[in-house]
Amino acid sequence: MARCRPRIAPDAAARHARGPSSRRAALGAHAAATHHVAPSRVPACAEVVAAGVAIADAEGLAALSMRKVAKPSRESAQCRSTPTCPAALSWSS
Amino acid sequence: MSLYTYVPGRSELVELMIDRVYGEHAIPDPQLPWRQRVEQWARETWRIYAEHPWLLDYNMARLPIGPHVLDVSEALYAALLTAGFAGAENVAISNLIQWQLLGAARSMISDADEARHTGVSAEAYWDSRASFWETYFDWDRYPTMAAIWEAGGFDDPAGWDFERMLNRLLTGIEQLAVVSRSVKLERLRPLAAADDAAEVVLVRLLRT
Repeated sequence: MARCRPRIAPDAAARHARGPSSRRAALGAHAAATHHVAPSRVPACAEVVAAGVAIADAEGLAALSMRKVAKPSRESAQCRSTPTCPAALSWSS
Repeated sequence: MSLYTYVPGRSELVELMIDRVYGEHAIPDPQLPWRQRVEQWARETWRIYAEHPWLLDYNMARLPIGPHVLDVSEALYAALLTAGFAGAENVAISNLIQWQLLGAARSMISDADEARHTGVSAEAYWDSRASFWETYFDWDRYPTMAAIWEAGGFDDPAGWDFERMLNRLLTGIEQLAVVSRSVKLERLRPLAAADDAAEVVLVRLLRT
């Protein structure tokens, strides 16, 4: 089984901007300008994101840190990055 | 195993969290009348603000571009399009609704949050300052406030009622839709006499 790795190429936004429609180009340009990474492009485990939501719900956004999220997620954040893995967010879901 | 294998950093994590929370936002049935769709949309937005108040700390003018965030936006734009608002007008009305909800949520939910943390409700807070009104308040300098006070206007909890706020907002937007439609009709009537395409648009408008 392949290990989860960031699949965000440095030129991802630029590639996005070269899409067929002007609307897609505009969205890609916006993403590049604001350094946004479309969430669907990040192979984040759902458990990591859920842990973040739970911490923010309980303690507020200011209390959220990567270290805190890592604690409850350490055991569950094993890679399951298969084509059917629900953890990899998808635009088609 | 490094967490960064999964999420590049905190800001990306927060974006993913927001998209996940927006995934909890039910999308109104597109077959419903536009006002009912916007009402449902607003109630759902209010619910996720109440359940995840940390959203209110985020810059909502720069929401992440995620599939669920866009689903929620699309639902509001589509409902307003059915009401007759297109293009920039659609965006303006959409922003009006979103900012109204966001502002009200920041006030009401923040106050409820403060009451929970301090144990002092809004009523108790204002009661503790009751002597100000009797001792220092200048009734002649603030005649409108004084009149509202005399009429019991500040005692009406409806000022903090979400459903009544939403009803007033949508009634205003409904009136705007009627005005907007009649303005479009007036512009199209002379054109329709000379242009087939304009006549088709006019007939469509008259049917809505």
